[in-house]
Amino acid sequence: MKYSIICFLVGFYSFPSIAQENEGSILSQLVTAEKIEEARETIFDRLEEEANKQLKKAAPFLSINYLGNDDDSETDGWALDYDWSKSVEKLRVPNADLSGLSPGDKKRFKFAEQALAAELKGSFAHEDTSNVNNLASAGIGINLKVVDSGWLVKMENPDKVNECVNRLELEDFESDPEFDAAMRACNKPYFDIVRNMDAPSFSYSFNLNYKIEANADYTEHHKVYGISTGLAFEPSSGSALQMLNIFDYPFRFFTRPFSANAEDYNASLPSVYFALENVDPDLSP
Amino acid sequence: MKFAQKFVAGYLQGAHKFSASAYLKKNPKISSVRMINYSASAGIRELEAQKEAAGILHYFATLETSHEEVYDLAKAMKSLVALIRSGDKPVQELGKEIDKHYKFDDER
Repeated sequence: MKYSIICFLVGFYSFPSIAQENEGSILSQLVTAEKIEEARETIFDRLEEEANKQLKKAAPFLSINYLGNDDDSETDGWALDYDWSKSVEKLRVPNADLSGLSPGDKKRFKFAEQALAAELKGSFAHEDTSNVNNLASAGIGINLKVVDSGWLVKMENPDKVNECVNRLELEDFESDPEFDAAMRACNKPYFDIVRNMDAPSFSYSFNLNYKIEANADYTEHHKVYGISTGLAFEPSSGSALQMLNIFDYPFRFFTRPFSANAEDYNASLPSVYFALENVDPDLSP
Repeated sequence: MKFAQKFVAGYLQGAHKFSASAYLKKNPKISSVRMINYSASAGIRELEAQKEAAGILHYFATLETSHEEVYDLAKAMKSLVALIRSGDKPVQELGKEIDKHYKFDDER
């Protein structure tokens, strides 16, 4: 038994050495080429990592990428990726100061934003490097948004609501529903105002954009024109506009009468968003 | 902080039927309040989040809650829109954001 194990071990260890004797030169060449390739990849990975670390500080919209292709027919090489965007926005906020007004007086509570945006995105590969990310784009856009919450109404006694909510402590109530009921009672004056407000709350946006999509070096390109607009709309609960929401009918007429706090019931209309883009391809050879 | 949370809990209960005690005790994700339709497209989520964020600010404006000395309504609006639109943060993050801009009784 002892001899057989020794023989096996000798055989196991001697096989590679025999093989190396016969094919030593080819194998050593392959091993060397593999090691060089590994070292090259390690160096490039490290270089890419260091360069991107520096770029992140100096120019965060740029990054360097080494493109190592598996297919031998494709050329490995370096590529510079860029992804830059800038927008200038102007947001007009409502004047929320109610001091000096009498109870019942109201003012509009509306936000309006105008924005101009530009973007540049793509990848530029060195000379004949095979780059799978062969798409670049440059575009500008104008965006208008309005958010309207209806009227801001001066309350008779806002401190009453504030003091009531401040006093509430979860620990003082035996059960959660009791706490919720007390919270609802505290906020009733506010939600009564919202319910009786004769103005809907809504937000809409309108966007125009123009973009050029191209290959990495912009020698071939096409133009894209776009328009998009959207509306989210919630009529006040007493408004006849509520009836426009036919999808809500089953809940409005059948489940609402059986629900607690039915007077708070309000439903937004389904939001809509519409976008249209036209691609104008460059068909020149 | 605690007072800001109570007010936001009260608002969400009145506006979205989300239990104030669940807000304060369980602190679930914002998306569970169903303020907006999270399965809708990005454009619709943005629109609905703006409307809801404005609703929260409308509540505090109506209650004439005093605000911090450095007060930026535009910044408050943007932060709330970002929180509501993504919906993945705990709901009490809304209260934390409100607390940055308004002054409540526990801060005086």
